[in-house]
Amino acid sequence: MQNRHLEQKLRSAVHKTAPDALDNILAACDAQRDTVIAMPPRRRRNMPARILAVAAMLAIVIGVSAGTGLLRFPGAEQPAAPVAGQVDSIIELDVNPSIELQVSRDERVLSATALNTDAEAILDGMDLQNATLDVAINALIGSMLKNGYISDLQNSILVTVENDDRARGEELQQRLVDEIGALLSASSVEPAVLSQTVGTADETVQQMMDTYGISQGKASLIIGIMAQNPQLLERNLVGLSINELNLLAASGSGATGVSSTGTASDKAYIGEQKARELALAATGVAEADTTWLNVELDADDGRMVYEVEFGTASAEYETDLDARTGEIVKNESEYYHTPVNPVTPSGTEGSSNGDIGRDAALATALAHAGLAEADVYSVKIEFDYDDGRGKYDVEFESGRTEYEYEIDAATGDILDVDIDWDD
Amino acid sequence: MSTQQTAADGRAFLEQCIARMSLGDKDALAAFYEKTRDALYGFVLAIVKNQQDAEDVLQDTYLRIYGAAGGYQATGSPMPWVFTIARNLALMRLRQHARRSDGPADDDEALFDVPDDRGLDPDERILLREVIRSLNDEERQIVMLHAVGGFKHREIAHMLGLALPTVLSKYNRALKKLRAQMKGE
Repeated sequence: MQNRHLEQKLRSAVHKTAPDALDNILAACDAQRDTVIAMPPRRRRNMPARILAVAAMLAIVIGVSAGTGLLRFPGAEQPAAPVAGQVDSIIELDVNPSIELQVSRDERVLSATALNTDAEAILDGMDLQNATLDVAINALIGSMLKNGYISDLQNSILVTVENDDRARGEELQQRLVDEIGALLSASSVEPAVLSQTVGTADETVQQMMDTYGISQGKASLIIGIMAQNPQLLERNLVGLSINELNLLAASGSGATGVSSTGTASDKAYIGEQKARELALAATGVAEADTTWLNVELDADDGRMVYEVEFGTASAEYETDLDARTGEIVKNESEYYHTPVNPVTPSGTEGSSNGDIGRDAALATALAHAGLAEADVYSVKIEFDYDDGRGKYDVEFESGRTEYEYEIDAATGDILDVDIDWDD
Repeated sequence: MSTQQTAADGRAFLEQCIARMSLGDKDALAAFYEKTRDALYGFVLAIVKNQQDAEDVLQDTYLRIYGAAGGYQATGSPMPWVFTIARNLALMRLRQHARRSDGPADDDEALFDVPDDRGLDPDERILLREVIRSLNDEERQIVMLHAVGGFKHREIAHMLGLALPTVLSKYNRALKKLRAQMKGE
């Protein structure tokens, strides 16, 4: 059986097997629309530090008097009142160090555990056993500031409260957010605090914790970010710091179930405006010639990149730049028609780097295919820069045949050929 | 009109559908479903490898697209976004099975049982079974995305985070395997 016959058979088989689910989907959408996807309102505070500190102290006083059982879900069983010495809440602080505190009902620390290597350094020589929660938080935040884990360049912290009594957990969450915000402000760091209250880890969260060795709080945050930004991939997110995740969430559509105060610092990065300028310069496109342009932060292989996408009347471009250095890590263009004067992006290619250029790449591919430029249409030439090596992906069609070539940008060698007969 | 423009028109139509869905337009969802059902079903099936799960995930995917349409940022090319939603939901389904150990057993008998009432001819039935049985996960996804979804190899490389030569060689190897299996039947 020929390839195209096989493909056609498979299309037909899938078409016949695919369910007729439209009626069910339409019936289900109204119920789903406002519940599953709804994003919690993001609380943003810009109070001056002093007011925040006072508010935090008030919150602690009020918090102590309003304990478990005063607020509960309608119809829920009254939970047995926990006694001092028993674990009431588990609090996780994630920056990059991840620390877990087990806390009693009267808010004394029963245990402090380092969940990763960075956290071991923070907890080293620190005895938090039986300390009050606010003293422990003060010490931990102080140490993270001193050791440079929290600074002007990375000012985000994630606070996760695990408590089966959700109301109690949320109340504690809010107090911690206020307190940490005040501590950071007092140290002249603009606080960016993400916070959430969670129950026992569900299967998805547990699986992610086990697979990547990350805290429940970080796993829940990543799932929350992916729910709102489905284009992001789990494997690209797990290695990022909380500040990087916070920036991604803010650049996209937020994170389900996570409250956010303050703004994550991007001072370590070149910024969207600079990324846009560099991308345009690298492609030789004038801003006035763009019909649309979109800049977004993204994560790629564990590093943060600005993804700059734009279009002109004749082509679409995507240029990815390392968010810290501005280095171009990807530079692709897709022409709607064969370019009359192909643009050679600067920065990653050019004759000085031993680059054969787009024209030569196309000529090499055409020569191999035994075709003249006039014989082909839907020509696409893309430059890819990967692992220090430049390549041209050249695609074109002629008749019902589709050609795809990969050509070494430095040597002009053909690295890969694929010729498909289309039906 | 070149095929490029045709594909661009198709993408623009789907993007319009998403924009209308964000306003609660269910007709737009229906139109979107008609255009994308086979491609999405094939892709989801490639991941979950059984029909019941594929049907459930397919339904969840459309609900998620409809619900999340307001958050979609138009890029001119909506399908990578759509397929990422489908993939995340399909992988979540697999993880749930793994946690509960209640997924379909990973042996030939339990793999993909095509219902009799779908009107498949014998070749189609064998082919579908072999796609599930003989190909590995990546090969299966690449074959479904190209043959059923109509994506270019380059687009597939981008969507799956693989290098283009990898996609090309995996695709060719997969088709070779399928041809051999069909010949052997």
